[in-house]
Amino acid sequence: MKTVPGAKAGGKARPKRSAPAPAAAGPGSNGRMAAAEARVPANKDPARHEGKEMSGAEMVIRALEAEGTEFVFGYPGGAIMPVYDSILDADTMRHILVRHEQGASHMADGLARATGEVGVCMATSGPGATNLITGIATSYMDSSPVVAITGQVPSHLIGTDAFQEADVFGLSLPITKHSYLVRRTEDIPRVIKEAFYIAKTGRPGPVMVDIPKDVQQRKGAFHMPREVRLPGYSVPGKADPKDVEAIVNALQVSSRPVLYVGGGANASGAGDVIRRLILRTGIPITTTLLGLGAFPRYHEKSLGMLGMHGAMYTNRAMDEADLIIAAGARFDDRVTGKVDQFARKAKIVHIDADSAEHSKIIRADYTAHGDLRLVLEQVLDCLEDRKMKKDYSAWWASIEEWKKDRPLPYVKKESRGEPGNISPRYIIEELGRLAGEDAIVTTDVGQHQMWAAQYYPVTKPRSFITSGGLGTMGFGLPAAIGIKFKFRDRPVLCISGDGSIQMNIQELTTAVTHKLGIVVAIFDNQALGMVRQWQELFHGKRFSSVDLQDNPDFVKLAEAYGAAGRDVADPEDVSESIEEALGRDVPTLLRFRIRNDENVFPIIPAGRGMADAIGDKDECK
Amino acid sequence: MQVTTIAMLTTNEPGVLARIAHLFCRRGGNLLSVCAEKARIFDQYCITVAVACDDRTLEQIRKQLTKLVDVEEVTVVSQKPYVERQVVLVKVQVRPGLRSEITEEGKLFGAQVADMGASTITFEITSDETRVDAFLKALEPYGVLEVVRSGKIALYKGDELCFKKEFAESASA
Repeated sequence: MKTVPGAKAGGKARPKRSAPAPAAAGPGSNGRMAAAEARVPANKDPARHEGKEMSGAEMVIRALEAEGTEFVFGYPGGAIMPVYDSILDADTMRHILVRHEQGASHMADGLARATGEVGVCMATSGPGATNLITGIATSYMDSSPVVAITGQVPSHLIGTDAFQEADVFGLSLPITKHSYLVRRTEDIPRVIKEAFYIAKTGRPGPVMVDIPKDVQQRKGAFHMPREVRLPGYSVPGKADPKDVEAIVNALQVSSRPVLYVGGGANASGAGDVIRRLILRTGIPITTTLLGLGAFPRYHEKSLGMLGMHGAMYTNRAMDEADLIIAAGARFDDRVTGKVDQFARKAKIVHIDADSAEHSKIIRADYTAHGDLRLVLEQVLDCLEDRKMKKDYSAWWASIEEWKKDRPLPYVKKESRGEPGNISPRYIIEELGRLAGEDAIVTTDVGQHQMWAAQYYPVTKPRSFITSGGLGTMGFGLPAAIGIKFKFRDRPVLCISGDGSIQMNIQELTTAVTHKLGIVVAIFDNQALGMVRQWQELFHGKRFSSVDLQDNPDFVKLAEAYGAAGRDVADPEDVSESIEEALGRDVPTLLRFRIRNDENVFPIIPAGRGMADAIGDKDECK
Repeated sequence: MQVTTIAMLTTNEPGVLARIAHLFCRRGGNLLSVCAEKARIFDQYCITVAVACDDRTLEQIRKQLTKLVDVEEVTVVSQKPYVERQVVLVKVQVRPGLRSEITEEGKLFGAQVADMGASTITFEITSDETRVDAFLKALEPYGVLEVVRSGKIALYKGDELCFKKEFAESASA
């Protein structure tokens, strides 16, 4: 077996490039990168490999590079070792060693969501692949373009319960947009090209590519097809003009419209079109958790997030609307609550790149199938053609009244007015204020995530990155790491909880190794807060397995990893601690102590309508 | 719940049937019958399924099938007049003196004798479900030992084609 490291290295001198080399030449850059630059011919055009004889493993690298991959997040193991050998000869691509494969899949996902480019992760067969699965499922639920490459046991051992064998193809079926088990070495470039194409076009999603070890080892001629040929796959473009006309007609007769925007807005880069549409029409806009950032949170036309933890006035507006234009949103149960009580007075327009979403949950009166950005441009053009101008002042007056009556709980520095207790809402506001508009924020899952969604002043598309559909605890830190690799000069925050952070805290090593100055804000209430809240409200205060008083010392833990840590217990220290952390070029873990009994309000109990919403009277007034 | 016949034109990539079966399993809809075989064009398969589900589930399944990268075309055949067939092999016990009577029964239903044993006859009948059921019922008094039914296959009646793409591609090739 020539896959033992070093066994093959005698053949030719190979500079040690497995250690991290900074991505961009900058203050952090050093001679190693320069040496690598010198070694690689000036012409890095991947096309120069065309027709060359090489191993399947090298084909993987060349194909990834041809697709423009900058970073691969991964973890080696037996069945993927040939590819890891070839990684040492990569020209333009860097491999980032993580500490758990789940971290790799979230890093690729985070990077993909923040950039719109395909994120790539890699793992070995069996446990490596199964560890990726949670991250892949996360990408699938939130339609994020990720390509996951896994090693598989050699072809002749497939189906024999071989060491570290798992049926990755079978596992991939319910959680990927598409998946491949590569059987021939020569197919690798085509499969990778198709995988990228499928992942990033239309409604994006993850694609898994499983490559048996012998397929990696065998040699063949490298041929990267110029175009993909997928007769069973089509990419939506513009919508049928008749459908666009129908939408504009509906808007023309509506006096109480709401634009309800989902993750498709960020995915299709529709932010600027949405802005133009809102400014042009003056209609209110609400976003889902995934749609945050598609429109500035605190713009006067923004109603913030809707649904289970949406403001009372936002859900009231949905309830009273006579027209709801769903744009790249999928009527998730966390948005609709009880479906037959959702927006009963409204006609429903549904614009989506995936026609399977039309009328899946709510019967749509008008549908348009196409790329959201293009369809909204069509709508705008149509509005211009008709010189349509409508007055929504009566509608806005109602909304303003509801807003005055039931705003989101007011932000105070101190929790429940008690001195010494930091309000979690205040921390969110300060994080947003100090990090600035350019910041990208990731979250984990739970109470902190909802506070962030309610209050974080996100203004730019692709800058609020969170696991919505799957609700994956442990997403935030690795996602922030993946993002920081690409955006070295933008502040990257991870808002987390004392429960979530421990689900992938090992990735602090990755952040420290690569000097990623991310800020991790832990909202420490010494509990699994959201579950605790549900037990308080819906299970008669029978608290079961939510106590986290045995948390480790997060500051010492951060320091043990080589990161900075700080314990913040006083509301007066919040701003200063954030400023200090933002100034560092190493990761900082801020532990904010918050009250154990803080709840997220308002809340609509699962499966109920907005009439059953629970607000906190103390906080609302 | 109504029974719907869906025909799909797919690639012959390994695992296509697994993807399709899994989709039914996940999105609801009970698969009653499956038939997968090579299509007219090399490299393509035609997979016909019969499924019991409500209209809403059917619409969702149809769209989700269309989304599968390996599925090129999806046609709900039973929405229009169509011809449906299945092949059935049935082994009947032959008691002394009844052989010609049973053979006659087969002729009546248009069944072929596929094989004769010392004390059995194996019939082969190709027909729609109603006729097959009637044949089996007619054989019941003689002693039906085994029945194997194939998956159903279907095409539109008249001149209309189920798969438009297949025709277009073969015409241009």
